[in-house]
Amino acid sequence: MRHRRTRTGQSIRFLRSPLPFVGVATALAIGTGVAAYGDWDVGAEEAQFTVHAAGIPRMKAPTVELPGGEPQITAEGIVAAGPRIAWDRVTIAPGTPVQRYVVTRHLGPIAQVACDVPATGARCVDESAPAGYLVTYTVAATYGTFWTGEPSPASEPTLLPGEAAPIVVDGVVVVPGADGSPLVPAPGVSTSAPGEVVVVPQAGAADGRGEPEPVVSTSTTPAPDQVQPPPVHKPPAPPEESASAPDAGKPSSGAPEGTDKNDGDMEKDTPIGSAIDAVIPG
Amino acid sequence: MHRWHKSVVAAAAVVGAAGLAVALRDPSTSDQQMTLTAAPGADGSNPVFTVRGAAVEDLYPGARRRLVLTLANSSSHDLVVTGMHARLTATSKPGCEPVVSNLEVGPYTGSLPARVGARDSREAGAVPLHMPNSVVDACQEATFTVLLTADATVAAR
Repeated sequence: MRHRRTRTGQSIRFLRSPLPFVGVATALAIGTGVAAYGDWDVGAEEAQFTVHAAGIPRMKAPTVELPGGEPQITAEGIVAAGPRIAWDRVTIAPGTPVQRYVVTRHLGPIAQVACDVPATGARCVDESAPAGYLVTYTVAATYGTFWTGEPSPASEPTLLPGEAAPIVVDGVVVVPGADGSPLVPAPGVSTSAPGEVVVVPQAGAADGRGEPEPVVSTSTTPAPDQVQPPPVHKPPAPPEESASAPDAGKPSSGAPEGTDKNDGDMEKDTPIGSAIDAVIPG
Repeated sequence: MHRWHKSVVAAAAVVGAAGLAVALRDPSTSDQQMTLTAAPGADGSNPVFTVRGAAVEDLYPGARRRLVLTLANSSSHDLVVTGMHARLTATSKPGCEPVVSNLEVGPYTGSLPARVGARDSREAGAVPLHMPNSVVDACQEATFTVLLTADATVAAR
């Protein structure tokens, strides 16, 4: 009993010692400290998100309509008030039309810009169409400085009124075939005898891609260089959208203002490399 | 004793943070998400935090868009997001390089730190996107990959 009392007394004395309280307090402090400030880092992880760019859709083949009445042919062999080309408008995104349309005239393997018009219109007149030739047209939409859509399929071939004469387009001699199909003689061959020259067939342009078929020639004369592509026309930059209003600032028509003449629904062509260089007298 | 238990849980949670994993959904889906999953804590919890990004389509020259982020916290712990960083890393088309002249990815816009309560979700800012007029033709219909890094902590209870 005494011994027991002694032990009890020792226990009491131990409990009265500050040591265990200090230890418990320290442990609790550490524990609560971890609980209070030991936030759990779940960061420094990476994940991928994807965002998608729009694309300019390929347009349908345009339609071509010849002017009514007696055809007027200029002294340069151009059809005055030439064929009217029409197309369906397209958008680059819902509610956002493209900005321009570029119509290309295909004379066999030769492709030239016939019209480059703002997207406010859906028709244009080819003011440089050579009389008497069989032509097709393609149309492509553009947006911004660099974005261009895939050219449409070619229109139905259209035989332009008037008598065809040999012409020079971008330095390439073109002579009329029997049915008005443009023929490109091999270099060094007289254009006065088109039936005897080796020609470049125009099939390559029929698909609307403007890629000519390789020159088929029995002559030892080297084939002419490929036809120069239409000159590059850079339209003005599209308007920037407002940062505060993500969808604000979209062009209502898709075309920058004040950069082009617009005569309403019918657009005149922009004379960019569309002119025939010369008509070779027969 | 209860406090000790809490401290043990907290300690286990710190250890468990090393077991975090990121699970990604198919990036081609329109609604994308980043899932941060922690290893089970000592209390048996298995916290999962999800960062969702709203679909962004129809970027074109001059367009500005926002990759809006939503944080979902399915755990029983509050989540505190302390950082969010985004950068352009790849595109899907050759000739369309992941550079600022093709797509600008701005700094995260949102209030940080952002606290997301237990079993709660909230919109947590956005990453601004701007396609400049200098974007090249090859970037039409391209898919741009934006790498997002999130820094977050699980707030102690």
